[in-house]
Amino acid sequence: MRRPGLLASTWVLFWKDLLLEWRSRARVNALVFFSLATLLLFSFALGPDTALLRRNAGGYLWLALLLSSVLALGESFRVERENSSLEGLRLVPVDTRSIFLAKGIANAVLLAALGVLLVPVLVALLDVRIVLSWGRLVTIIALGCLAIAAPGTLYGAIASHARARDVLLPLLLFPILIPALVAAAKGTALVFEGDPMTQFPSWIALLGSFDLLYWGLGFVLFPRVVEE
Amino acid sequence: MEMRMRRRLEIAAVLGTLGIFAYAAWTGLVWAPPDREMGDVQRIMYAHVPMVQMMLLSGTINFVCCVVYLFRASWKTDALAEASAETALVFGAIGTTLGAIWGRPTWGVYWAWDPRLTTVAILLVAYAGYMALRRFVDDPERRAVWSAVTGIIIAVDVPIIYFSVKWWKSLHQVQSTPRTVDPQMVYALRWNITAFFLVLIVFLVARYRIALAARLRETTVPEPAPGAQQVVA
Amino acid sequence: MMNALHSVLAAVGEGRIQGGWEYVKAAYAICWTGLALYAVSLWARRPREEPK
Repeated sequence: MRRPGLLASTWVLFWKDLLLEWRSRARVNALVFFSLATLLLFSFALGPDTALLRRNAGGYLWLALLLSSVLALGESFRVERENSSLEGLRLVPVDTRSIFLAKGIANAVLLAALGVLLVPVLVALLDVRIVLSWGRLVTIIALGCLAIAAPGTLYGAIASHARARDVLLPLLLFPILIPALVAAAKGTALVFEGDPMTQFPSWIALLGSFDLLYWGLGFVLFPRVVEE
Repeated sequence: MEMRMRRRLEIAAVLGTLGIFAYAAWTGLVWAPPDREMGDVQRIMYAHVPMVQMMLLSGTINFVCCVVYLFRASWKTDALAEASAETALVFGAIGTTLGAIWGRPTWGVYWAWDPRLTTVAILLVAYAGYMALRRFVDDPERRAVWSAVTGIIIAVDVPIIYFSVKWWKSLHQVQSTPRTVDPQMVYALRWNITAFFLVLIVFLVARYRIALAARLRETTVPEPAPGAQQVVA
Repeated sequence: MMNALHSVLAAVGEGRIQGGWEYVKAAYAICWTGLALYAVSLWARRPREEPK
């Protein structure tokens, strides 16, 4: 049997993950409503001061995404564990690294879609305006979701086989994501508030290096995480 | 006979460490002059700076052990990784507390989001996660590999955390106090760094033995002892 | 003029934080107690029998 190439198997596994998400639409829906609920809660916790809420909108968006990501990552590995499908995948002569790439990209796509979905809500609810371009907003959302997904997938694979996994995943993930959260929230705030001192590129650079580092690390380390 | 010699040497090493620690504390608390601007409050530095440095040293040891373990698995490396993560947690927790106490009279607030102090605080939470992971995985081999991966992930984050906090804070205010340092202060600080380094070594050796003994107990069970935790594959 | 300068310099001299020993005491107490407690915990957890 010919061993499929890294990219080919990644592609197949990626579609498998997306198909799974699509078939279990109820889960995705729950995720959407969870993130909406968090946005509402942030607003209620701070009171109806529109100016304040608008100024903090970037932070709320990323906190909502971060909290949802823990649920999404936990779910995506719960499915694998309950069906022992990671063990099944290991029986197939497939490069384990493609499991990481496929799962990571699928998680990033799911989160990015959630992020884009939340933007109109922010506009309606918090009176946010897109001062810079939509392109920059999409860039920062994409880079930020990639930043959550790479270490998230690695830790999700680890935590799903540990005891107390629901506590463990955020405990492992949140501290190391702080730089990504800072960069993504600041970048998003600049998109909403305007960028008179052109700080946007430096936050993109910070987020980009975070992405490069953790996608590289995950690519190298993931086979060790799932090995027997 | 050999055992007793070793035992005595160990006791001598601990006593020597305590003596140097006491002398260093004296240089910092009594012998060194008060700071020109911060007065006697600055004496906190002689404990705070070494504590944070030893935390970073522990983190470095942990990182090296994690990398080495992935290339060449050994219970000794794993035990040292566990020991260094815990000492990093202890020294970091006390060190940041001292920094906060120092911040109160000098900056007016306990926490001024100083980039270095904040980086250490974030690392603390990260190592707390590392220790939790070690506790929540029962299979020793998986625990070793997974915690090695986690240790590497934490360590490579350090420069990014530092820069992100620095940039994040620079939007609000910049704080810098360039000062000339009294040679007596340098002397006292050197002694304190030496003292805390020796304390770290003592702690590391003790914790390493605990971890190694636990590993050997976990991995060499002749027959399943009653009440022993079964590892579910 | 010189008087004014002197008074300014004196004021700068007073700018040094006075006292503050209570902070130093608290800091060293926390440091030593913390390290001592950790040492005790290490002692309590020491391996009982020599690993074979």
